Amino acid sequence: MSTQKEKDRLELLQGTLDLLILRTLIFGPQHGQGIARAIQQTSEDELLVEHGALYPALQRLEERGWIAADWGTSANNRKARFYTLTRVGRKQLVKETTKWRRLAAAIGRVLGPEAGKG
Amino acid sequence: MFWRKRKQSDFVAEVEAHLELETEQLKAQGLSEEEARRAARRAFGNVTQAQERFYESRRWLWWDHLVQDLRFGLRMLRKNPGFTAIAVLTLALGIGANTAVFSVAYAVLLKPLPYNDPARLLRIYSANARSGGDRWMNSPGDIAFVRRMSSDFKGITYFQEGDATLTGIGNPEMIRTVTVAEDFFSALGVPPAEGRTFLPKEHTQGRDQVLVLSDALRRRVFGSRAAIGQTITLDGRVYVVVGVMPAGFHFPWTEPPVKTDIWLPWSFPFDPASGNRDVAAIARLKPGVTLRQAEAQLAALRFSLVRAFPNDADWKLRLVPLQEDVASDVRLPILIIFGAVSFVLLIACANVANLILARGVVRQREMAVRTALGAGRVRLIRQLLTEGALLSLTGGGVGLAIAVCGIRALRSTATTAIPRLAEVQLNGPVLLFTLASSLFVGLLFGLVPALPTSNPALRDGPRNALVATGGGTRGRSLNRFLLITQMALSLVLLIGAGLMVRSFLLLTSVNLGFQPDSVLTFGTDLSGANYSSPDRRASFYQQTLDRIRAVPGVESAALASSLALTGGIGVAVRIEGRPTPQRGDETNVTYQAITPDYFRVMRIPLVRGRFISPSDGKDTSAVLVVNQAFVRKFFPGMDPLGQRLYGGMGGDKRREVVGVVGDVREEGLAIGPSPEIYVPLFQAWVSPGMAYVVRTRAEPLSLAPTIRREILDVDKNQPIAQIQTMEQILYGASAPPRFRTELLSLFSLLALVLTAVGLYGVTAYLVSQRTHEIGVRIALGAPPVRILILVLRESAVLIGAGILLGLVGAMGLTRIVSTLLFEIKPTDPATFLFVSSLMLGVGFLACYIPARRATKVDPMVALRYE
Repeated sequence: MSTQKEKDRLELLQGTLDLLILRTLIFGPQHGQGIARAIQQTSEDELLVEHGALYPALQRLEERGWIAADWGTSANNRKARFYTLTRVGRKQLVKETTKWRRLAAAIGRVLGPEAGKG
Repeated sequence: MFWRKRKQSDFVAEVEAHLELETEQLKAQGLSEEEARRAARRAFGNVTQAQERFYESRRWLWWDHLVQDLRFGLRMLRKNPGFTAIAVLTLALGIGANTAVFSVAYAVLLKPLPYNDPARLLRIYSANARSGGDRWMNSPGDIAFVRRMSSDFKGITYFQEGDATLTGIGNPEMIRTVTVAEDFFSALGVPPAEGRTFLPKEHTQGRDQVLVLSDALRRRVFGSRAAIGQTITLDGRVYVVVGVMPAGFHFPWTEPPVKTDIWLPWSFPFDPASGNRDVAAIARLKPGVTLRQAEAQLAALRFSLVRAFPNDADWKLRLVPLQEDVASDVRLPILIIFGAVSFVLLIACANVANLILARGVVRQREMAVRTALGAGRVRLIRQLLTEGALLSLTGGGVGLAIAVCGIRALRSTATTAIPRLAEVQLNGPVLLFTLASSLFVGLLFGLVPALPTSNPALRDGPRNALVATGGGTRGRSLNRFLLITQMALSLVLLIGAGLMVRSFLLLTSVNLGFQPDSVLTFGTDLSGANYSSPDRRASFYQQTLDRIRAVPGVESAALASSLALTGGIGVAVRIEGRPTPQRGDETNVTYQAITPDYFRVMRIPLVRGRFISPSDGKDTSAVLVVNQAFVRKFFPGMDPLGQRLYGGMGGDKRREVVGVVGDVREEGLAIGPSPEIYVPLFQAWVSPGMAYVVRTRAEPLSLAPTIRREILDVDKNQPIAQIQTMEQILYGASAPPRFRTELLSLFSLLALVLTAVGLYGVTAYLVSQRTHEIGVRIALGAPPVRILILVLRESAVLIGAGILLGLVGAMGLTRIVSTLLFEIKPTDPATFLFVSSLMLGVGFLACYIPARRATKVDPMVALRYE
């Protein structure tokens, strides 16, 4: 967790945070801090998620009914608000994932084959 | 938009939990407590900002916007005091009038009667298919049959109204009584406040000298002493008080000065075969049974009913919800007047909307700026709606004050015209109505101007809007539409009121057939034991008449069976030498037993023959006098004098027609004279209930105390009741139509004034819009007349369209009032023509003033206008 590393991290594109949250929740209920950690870890620390920015996104997803939330107890016995993926959310995840893959592929095609790694 | 589902504190707790979890994890990775805490915070970012964002995503934002809008709206209203005052006053008049009328409508038509579950109570009437009339009382046979056969009612009970003389409490008094069947009180579901109601055994003769008192009479007679077990003397018989009903209990509903004070047990045999129609009945529906179902069952029972009583084939039982029955005569007028005030409110709304539209030019620039600064369309509309609501709620508040005055005025003027008047007041439902109508109105005129001014097209050209001088064409055509609607609405109202006024004038100018001025009237009831024989009654009448005649200031005095205008007694007569009519009422006539001076007291003119004279006594030959309507019907083109009649309360006794007198309106102002016979009282059955008529030289009521003393001198236990002048009776007979005519006229004039103001305002505005153009025309040499025509031409089209639309509307709508009109049609051409010309005149006047101002435009100023 050094400052050095943080500077190299990628900033998230707008709208992608929602997708990442939904994806993270596919493994089961998780609290906000857990989600933030999971995104960082699964992206091998490449993505920068400002933890505070996570909450408006969670709020939004909850209002849309894609995720549900309730207070529960964490592994180390702390009270935390746990988020679960709903059925609608699951469908949305499939949709968003396909969309994202197509977008990424398209951008990749535009940018051309990777020039020699630096 | 929504009420927050999650509390702010819940969110704060979540953030806390997050930081804790993160800190712990970092500590596990080897950081110190202090470092871990700082790192967790850094990773989270700005905590305050996160909380703010949460806050914004929740309801607090719209609340903030509302407060902002309100503040801004208030500032706008304060900045334009003239506009605000006119708008608020206009709305206050509309809302105030609506509130006042609604308070009446609520008390009379909607407020539940003070009985248990009053919605299930019905009144049973008989309707006659042949002779008409659908509010007759019922025959005992019908009621007994339905009580036995019908399963849709929880109970059917019956009663009979009457009068009795109350003695032993100072001056004797005449009191209204109701004789009630066994299940009467349980059907109404109101328990007594003291004591009990009647026991079953008390409904038998000999054990029936018990009574239940009203709260008012109980207080008057016994004060704070106990009443139960005390005695009261009625018609010379002694009754024991067994119960007292709670204050506010009435049944049946009677007009204000008359109140039912005593209930007696029904003890005489209920004779199903009597054939009389003298039983009033009410029924309570079983739970779950609808009025329709009960009606269907009655219709099904009718077949067997007709078989049981074949003579009654023309009669049919009719069910009327009690609530409707109480208000039956005023229901339609109240609904019409309510419709009228709604029109007034709509007109007021249109006025305010027009004002807002006219101001819209200024606002348009403001809106353009706001749009340019990023305000969304929704936000702009919300702003306009908030301002509208502010205006209308203020108007509603002032309107409440107007309504309070209005209600006070209504209660003091409508005394006899409206039932349940004492219950008319500002109460919860009425206030709710005011609030709802204010909000509705605010929405209405808030939205209408919002349409053109929040036009998103402005976004594309805020610069144009900033320099524009004219309102959008959409705004102006909306102006025109509102004006035409306004004029149409007020024309409909004016025509309705015009019809009422004309009908009322016709009604009050009918030939009564007698002279009502300087006549005092009152009644007696000699049904007590002292006057069981007709001779004793006759001697009482003779003695009292002699004494009254001797009172200084009395010109003449007489007795009659019933007073003019209050309804007469119907009898069937036969004419000697003519075949007996098979059946029906071909020879039904009005019956009056009178003393000789009656025609002189009432100033009823003699047409032929002679009046009844004092010498027409018991021992002389029987005579009678008929009216002109009688002659027209039974002796057309013949000489009625010398003809002989029989029947009509006289059995087979033949009476000779000795005179013909003028027709008198006996049944009421609107009901034309029917054939009538006058027989000498002392040659006929001397009824215990007679009306005195006394012609006086002085003010009639000033003689009342002296006359009362004279009568008490003859019999100290004999009360006189209903002392009033003939003119009071006349006034009372015209009170309901007078009341509704006055109200409708008032509201239609209000509508006319509002419309004129609106027309004036819009014309003035249109003129100001064209100042530049008019200036150019004047500069080019157009004479003032041309300018006048230019402006008026535009208004003339509007006025013409409004009047045309109004006439069409009135054609359709005045049919509603047709049953309230007397002797004119709802499409009376004279009224339509007169009212249209009035509207035309007022309309032109309202436009002429601003048009005239247009001719005075200084071309130089006008050209520099921009």
